[in-house]
Order: sequence, then C-alpha cells, then structure tokens
Amino acid sequence: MRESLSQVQKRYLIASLVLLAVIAVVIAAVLIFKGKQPQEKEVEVQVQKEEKQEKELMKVKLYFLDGEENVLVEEEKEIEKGKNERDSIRNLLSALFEGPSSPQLLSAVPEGTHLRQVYIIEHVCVVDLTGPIASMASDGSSAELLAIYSIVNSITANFPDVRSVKIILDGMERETLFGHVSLKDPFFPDMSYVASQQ
Amino acid sequence: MRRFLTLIFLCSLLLSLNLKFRYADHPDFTRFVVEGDEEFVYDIIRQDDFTIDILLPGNASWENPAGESKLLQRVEVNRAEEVLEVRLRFSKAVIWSSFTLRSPFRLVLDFRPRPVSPKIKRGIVRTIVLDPGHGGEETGSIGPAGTKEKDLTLIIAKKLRSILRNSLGVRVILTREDDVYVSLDERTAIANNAKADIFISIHFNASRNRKAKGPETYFLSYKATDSAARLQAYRENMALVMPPEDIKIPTDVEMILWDMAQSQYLQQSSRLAEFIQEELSNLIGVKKRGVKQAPFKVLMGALMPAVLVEVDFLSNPEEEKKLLDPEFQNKIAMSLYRGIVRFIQFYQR
Repeated sequence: MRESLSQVQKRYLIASLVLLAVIAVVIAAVLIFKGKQPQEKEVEVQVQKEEKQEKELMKVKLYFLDGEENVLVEEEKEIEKGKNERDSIRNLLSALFEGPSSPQLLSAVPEGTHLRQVYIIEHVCVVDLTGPIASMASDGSSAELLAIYSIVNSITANFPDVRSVKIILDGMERETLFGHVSLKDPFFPDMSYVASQQ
Repeated sequence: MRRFLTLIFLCSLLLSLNLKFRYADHPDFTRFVVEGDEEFVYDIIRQDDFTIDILLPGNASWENPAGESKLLQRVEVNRAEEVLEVRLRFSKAVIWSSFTLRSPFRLVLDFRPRPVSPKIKRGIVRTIVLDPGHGGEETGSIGPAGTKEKDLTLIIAKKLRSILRNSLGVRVILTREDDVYVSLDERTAIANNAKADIFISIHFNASRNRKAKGPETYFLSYKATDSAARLQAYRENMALVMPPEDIKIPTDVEMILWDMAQSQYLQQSSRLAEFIQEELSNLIGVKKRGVKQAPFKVLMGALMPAVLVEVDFLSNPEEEKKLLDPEFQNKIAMSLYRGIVRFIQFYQR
C-alpha cells in the first residue's frame, strides 16, 4: 500500500514538477521579454528629466528706453524657455521688468511693475499687470506710450504667434494707463517708437 | 460616438431655434434686436449704405418683425438654403454697431444716419474747442521743480483763446475753466456738442528719460480703429477667462464712435498736426520728427479734425524752467495760433 501510494505520489510529484518547470519557463520568458521594454522606457524618461533639469534657454529681444534719445532700443537677453508659450512670455516679461543690463539704458516701465497673469486668446496676448504701473494715475504721454510699446514690442518680436497685446491692470480693464492712451483695444507692435538701427 | 453626434445634430435641427425680431427708434439711433430662445451664430453684412443684411442659422423659425421706425423702412426675412437672411432697408445711409446680451440671448444692432460731409466747409471755422489736459485730482505730469502739468495746460489754453478771439473772431470754448477734473469722454462731448470745427487737446509731456525734449503732436492712429468686430470677438473670448462682470461691454455709443467718428477726419487731423508741430518745433528748436499717431482716448470720439499737442517735456529740468516764463508761454500760444491759421488757410484755398 505504502509503495503503491509512494508510486502514485512519485508520479504526482514528477507531473507537478514538470508542470511547475513549464510554468516557470513561461513566466521567466514573459518577464524577460516584457521586462526589457519598461526598462528601456525608464531610461528614456530619465534622459528627458535630465534635459528638463538643464533648462533650455532662449535668446530674446527686449525693448528698453534709451538714456540719450527718447526712444526704445533693443537689448538681447537670455531667458528660460517655459514649458509652453505662456510660460515663456511670463519669463520674458520678468526679464523686461528687471530692467536692462546696459547702464546706458533705462526701464520704460516703472520700477516694481509685476506681472499677475498672462492669457493667450487666439492671437491676442492679455497681460495683467500690477504695482506702480497700475497705481500711477497720470504721467506724460511719452512715458505712457513707451511703457506700452516696450511691453507690446518685446512680446510680439519674440512670439510671432502673438499678433497683438491687450493690457489690463490688477485684473480689470482700465480706460488708460497714465491718462491718455486707450487700453480698450489690443495693441499691435509699433516700431516707430524704436530707434532706427544704423 | 459618431452616431450619437449625428443624432444630436439631427435633434438640433428638429428642435430648431426660434427667433423674434423687434425694432424701435431711440432719440439718437434706431435699435434692431434679434432674440433667440438659445444662443445662435450670426454675421452682419453691409450690402450698400442703405442695406444691411443679418445672416442667421437656416434652421431657425421666426415670428414676424414688430416695430416702427422712420430710419428703418423695411425688414425682409428670407430663407436661402442654410441661411436665414434678414435684410434691413433704411431711408438714409447708415452706420451700425452691434453687441450681444445673454438670457435670453440677443443680438442688438444700433443704426445711426451716417454723418454728412465730413470735410470742414470751405473757409468756415466758427468754433474751436481747446482742451487743457488733466485737472483737479488728476495733476498730469509733475516737473522736477514741482510744476504741475494741469496748471500749465490751463495757462496756455487761456492765452491761446484770447489770441484766437481777438485775431480771428471765432468762438472759443475751453473744456475746463478752472482746476477741476473732467473725464476724457466729457471733454470730447463738449467739442461735439459745441459742433466745433477744430479740437485741440493741450498737454505737457514727461518721460522716464529726463533728457527728452521737444514738441510732439498726435492724431488718432488708423491701426487702432481697424475693427470693431474683432474687439467684440475679443470681449466674448475674455468671458472665458474673466468673470463676466469684470468685462466692460462697450456701450453702443462707444462702439460707434470708436468705429467711425474720428476716422473720417484723420486726413485733416494729420494736416493740423503737421502745421502745429512745425510751428512749435521752430520755437522750441528740436527736429521735426514729431507728428505721431496713437490711440488717444480723448480724440477717438471727436467729430471734427482733432489733435493732441504735447508742447514740451516738463520732465526735463531745463525745459521746465523755460516753460514757467510767461513770455515763453506767450510764444507757445502764438505758435499754436499760427499752426491753426495755416490749417484754416490751407482749407480755404
């Protein structure tokens, strides 16, 4: 009885061992085959992350006020490229509001001007500003126009998809910036405020 | 999914839009309203000066137009294939502006007779409106020594008024006589109500560059006026990112003035700007590059040749000193006067 039992047991044992071996081989094969692909993907993801950490820079033209003539002049700067156009415009405006690198130039917007928000609606870029630029009730037309076109020209020169720029202050539409020029419509770039390059 | 969309499309055809049309004369304009029980798309097309077509969705049903008007003589509604065409015929040449309202959705069109003869009549300049910039709590720019723009503009305007009255015998109106606040719209309205032939807004400039110097004379820019329709589209889009109560929908009057008023006088305005700029440049002695265009709010609604003069830079310490001298102020007024006379003579020929 014992022997017959042990024979039966042996058969079962062999059969189950074979079965286990087959299953193990199949599982191993599947794991090896599939396991390779995710590993490759992980490597790719890591490469992308490394690229992002390096932060892509872009060269932009910014428009500042000349210290001699009352006109805007171009200065090149490098800004961090955002993850989309809106982000990049945000970076560009921060660079513009920081002021020029050259000591011969002045900022055309009042110091302390801050960006609240940027929206892009079709080809209109809406910039929402705050700080002294929003609280200054009145100043000269020239100060007003040069502040406006320093912003408008800087955005449109570097982002060709943006055709015009609408300025709002503290989240609200305002009649004028400093008492003269209507802010109702978006502004198209105007290079007549920029010094002609000789 | 596609079947589902097709179903929705068919349902929307079956549950068609219902439109009502009504119109009435108002003191200043004739209003035509298209009211829908849901939002609809539309297009407005000018066939000629007397005929305006409104294109509406072809699946719409409608009730007969109701209203009475002297200006709007006939309303015809025709279904042409996929489009419902509403043709409006007017007794006079018209200009229009439009905007939309919600709950219920309405398309509102305002029609006004087109202003006749935009040119100044030969040799007739009867009324000149001078606008001393700023005033009251709005000081304008302030010079390094503390001179306020609002005071200088009033001094020059009063001096210029007496020269014009004595030499030309014309009626001269100032938009303010004292140190008071007057809104930009009010200033333009004063000129329009006086049926002025010339409007001159007088300012003193300022720049963050303290060396800036010299006169600049502005007239309204063409570019800024190029599309009321786009402005409207923009406003509708803005509703997606801003709470609607924060978006100021332009009133019909604003829209139409923006669209039409000053744009008819741009040629004369640019001429007036050139003459004034030349005379001031001769006095202050800076190169001529000074006639410029910008979307100045105070010029937009003006129904006459209109310019804004920035006499000189108050932010420049040397110029500020000169500007405080009464003798120099007389010279400024004389230069402005000569510019105006040259303009009048130019159109008298």
